Amino acid sequence: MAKRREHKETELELTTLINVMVVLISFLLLTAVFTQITIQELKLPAQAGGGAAPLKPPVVVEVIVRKNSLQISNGKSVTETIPNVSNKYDYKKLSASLLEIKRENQDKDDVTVLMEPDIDYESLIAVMDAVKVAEVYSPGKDKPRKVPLFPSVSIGDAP
Amino acid sequence: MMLTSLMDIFTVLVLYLIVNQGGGVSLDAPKTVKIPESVVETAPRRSVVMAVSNTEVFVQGVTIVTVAEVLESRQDYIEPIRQEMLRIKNLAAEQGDKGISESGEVTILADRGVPFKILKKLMSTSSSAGFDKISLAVNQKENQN
Repeated sequence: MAKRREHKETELELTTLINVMVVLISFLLLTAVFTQITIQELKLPAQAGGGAAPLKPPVVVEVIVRKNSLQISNGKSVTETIPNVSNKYDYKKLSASLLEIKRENQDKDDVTVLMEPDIDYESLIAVMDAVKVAEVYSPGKDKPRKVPLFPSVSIGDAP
Repeated sequence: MMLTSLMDIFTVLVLYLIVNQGGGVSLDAPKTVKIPESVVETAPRRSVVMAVSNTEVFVQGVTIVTVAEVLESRQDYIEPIRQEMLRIKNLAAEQGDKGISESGEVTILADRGVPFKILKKLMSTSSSAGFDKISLAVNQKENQN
């Protein structure tokens, strides 16, 4: 009987474990990263003379970023010019137009973004976003559906 | 004292925090660099980090040149940056750090307002130093899905 009472009174020594836990939690919380940095990958055009170039795909899609408009070109001539709306680039229209091009060329997944020298970095990233993914609002739904457009982006100078 | 439930909570918290922390390379932008937001979800990889604020260019956290010097330069690439990148590459090769020396990756952290002509020079500089996989760092936008 005496033995059993003793067994009942035994308590786990948790204080040290709790101390460790508290220290660990505060440390992990402090070092936790709340704003996640991600990367936009660029596909650089192969350097000139880098071996035999593969057969060039017939379809070329270029997006030219001008100071106050966006232009879509097929490599030879500008097919569409999207003027700025209240001093901002019209990324939605760009996505919509590219979606049309994507529909006609399902296999195509590379695009060239050509920039004028004074365009700032923020616009570059926003254009790359618009070129990579289109947000399609289908009727009856609040949230846009993401449609991949041209995921491999190369950049260059605007002509 | 009934500490069992408390211990349970702590254990779960610790596990959650450890899992959240693990994996991926963390990039730190200098305080003066405000990077733009984007919807991409690619996690950063180990690479040489080049940061561009409105006034200075840093390579691996060390100030190399000012933006004004980059603008003035008539050459395609910026010599001091190229030297520094080659030095980093050789150092990594000596230490057997294949992550940096062989992949040839560079991540550019640029401020929102940096014009393209500066970025272009930095990109051609890094490709002239043998770093030809270039990624641009951005803050992840909060997804609404």
